[in-house]
Amino acid sequence: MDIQLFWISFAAYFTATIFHVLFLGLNRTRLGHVAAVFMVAGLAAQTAALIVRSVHTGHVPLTNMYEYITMLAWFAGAAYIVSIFSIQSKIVQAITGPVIFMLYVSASLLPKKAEQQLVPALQSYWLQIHVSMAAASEAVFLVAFVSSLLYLIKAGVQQPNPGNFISRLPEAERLDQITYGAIVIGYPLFTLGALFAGAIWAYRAWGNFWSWDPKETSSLIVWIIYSVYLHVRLIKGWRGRATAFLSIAGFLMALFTFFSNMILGGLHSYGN
Amino acid sequence: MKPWNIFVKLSDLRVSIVLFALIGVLSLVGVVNPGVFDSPVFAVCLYLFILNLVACIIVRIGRNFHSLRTIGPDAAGRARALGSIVLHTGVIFLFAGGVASQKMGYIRYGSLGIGATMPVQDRDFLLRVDDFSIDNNSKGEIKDYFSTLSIVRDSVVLVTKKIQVNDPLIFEGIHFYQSSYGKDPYVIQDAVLHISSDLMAIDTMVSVPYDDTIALGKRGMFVCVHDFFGDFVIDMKTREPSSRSETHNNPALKASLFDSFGSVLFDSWLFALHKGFHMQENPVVSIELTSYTPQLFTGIQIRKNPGVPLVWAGIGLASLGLVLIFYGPLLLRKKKRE
Repeated sequence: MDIQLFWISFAAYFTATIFHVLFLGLNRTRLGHVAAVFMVAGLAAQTAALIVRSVHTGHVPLTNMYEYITMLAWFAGAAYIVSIFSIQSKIVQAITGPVIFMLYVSASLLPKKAEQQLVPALQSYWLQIHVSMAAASEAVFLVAFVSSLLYLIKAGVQQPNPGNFISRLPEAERLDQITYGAIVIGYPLFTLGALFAGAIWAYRAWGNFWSWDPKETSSLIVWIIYSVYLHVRLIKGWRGRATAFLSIAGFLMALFTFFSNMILGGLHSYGN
Repeated sequence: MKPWNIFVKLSDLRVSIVLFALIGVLSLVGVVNPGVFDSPVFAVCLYLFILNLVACIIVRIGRNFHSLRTIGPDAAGRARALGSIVLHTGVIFLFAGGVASQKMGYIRYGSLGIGATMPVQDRDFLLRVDDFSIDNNSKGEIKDYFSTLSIVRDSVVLVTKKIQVNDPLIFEGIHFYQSSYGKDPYVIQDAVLHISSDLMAIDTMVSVPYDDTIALGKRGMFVCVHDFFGDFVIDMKTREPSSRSETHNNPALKASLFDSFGSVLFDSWLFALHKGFHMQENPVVSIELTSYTPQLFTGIQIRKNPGVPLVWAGIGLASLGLVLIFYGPLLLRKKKRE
């Protein structure tokens, strides 16, 4: 049942992506509204899918790559809905929406078998705390990544043609603020959830807070990149291009973190 | 140069960025080559980073001492400044905890059967395994596994606990973790043999305890099983048997059957996966290894982790610092509005 709901939300996100692309090309506000409606419908179906899967398996679906990536997409979808009211930029939504659909496409390619029996190490409430906070922070970093990319596009073109995609982007300063705002939300979530909660759980399950496992190490690098971002911005007052590149590097590293255990194995290789 | 100026130089953000970059790049190399983390270069970078953090904290306290104590309009700024000091202090505690555990701690592993004991390094007590069990679900999948451990000093049991993954036994600073379990490659509990002989009119199944001899009916015969190997292999030159691995890939044991006078009627290797095969020439009886009960062992990880209190303090301080920096200003603004 949850798989059917997954495909319903997949169809909704796909339709939203078509309307987002049409909006970008034709600049009709109504198309942006329709895309947002399909995004909301997709998120509703995805929420139902997650609830059904949780009831079926007896645990929050966070135990394999398919479940993690759909949870990441859910948080990103939630961030999209929040952005409708907070950022109020249809262009930013029109870029974020298809990125969420891309996450969904990658989830659709992964094995979807629902494991009712968790391995003993995963039978802990730290699973929910650690993985959901990590997914939430990475979803917010995704927003920062998109706004940083848009910043580089906007700042790279001094005098865009009126009416084209670049001229309709929010001002570069506003995009820079969106990036900063997203990182300010994501950084403490990531530090507390991905690093600290993960370390506490590792201590309880494996006897060590830190093991230099590939996923741990690459998470540390993500943390270092965003720490540098915040230091140079808050202490040195850096803005613009340099911080946008740091934000992009941070998210790309987060993506690497996500796949690192598939490539390199390690202690986090439960759900490959 | 005055000490204060040394601290100011050391606390320079450029130094922090360079160290962040070095640690980041080395860590990236370490993802594919973990040996980097044991290298002196990595250790030097970490120690310099901590020195940089200490200098940062001292300089920040020095610069913000008065503003942190006074109550002024910029409460949000003060929350951030205080949070930053607390967060950086937390990171230093985390590092100190890691170093303490690495320098003064240890990790040992023990594969122990039920009833086995193991001495604990630096301590005058023994670890004893009282029980080990596996919990299966209705589909036969492994749900969890448990070991009942006792700490014994001078034959007195000091503490007993049933441990599982995520729930270790902690005693006098030593942690005992449920790490793994497995089948003993050299010992089993018992074997079921099918013994038959047309000549002697025998056709019976018998369960024989390992390394023990039992009487076979009323005929005065005795049978025993011994020399189990989980992954049997034999050296063709020396004819010496051994186990190729710690697994049960090719389980084999030796069965011996004696008549009432002690004469050997059968003495050969039997194989669980090749039931009809044995190495006895012209046997008067046929013996097959029908099944056997493996002897399970529990894998216990024993850790001395003296840095744990420092790490807990570090996590607590760093978390508090993060809340003060990122949520403190928000909370203050909300309070002001109210």
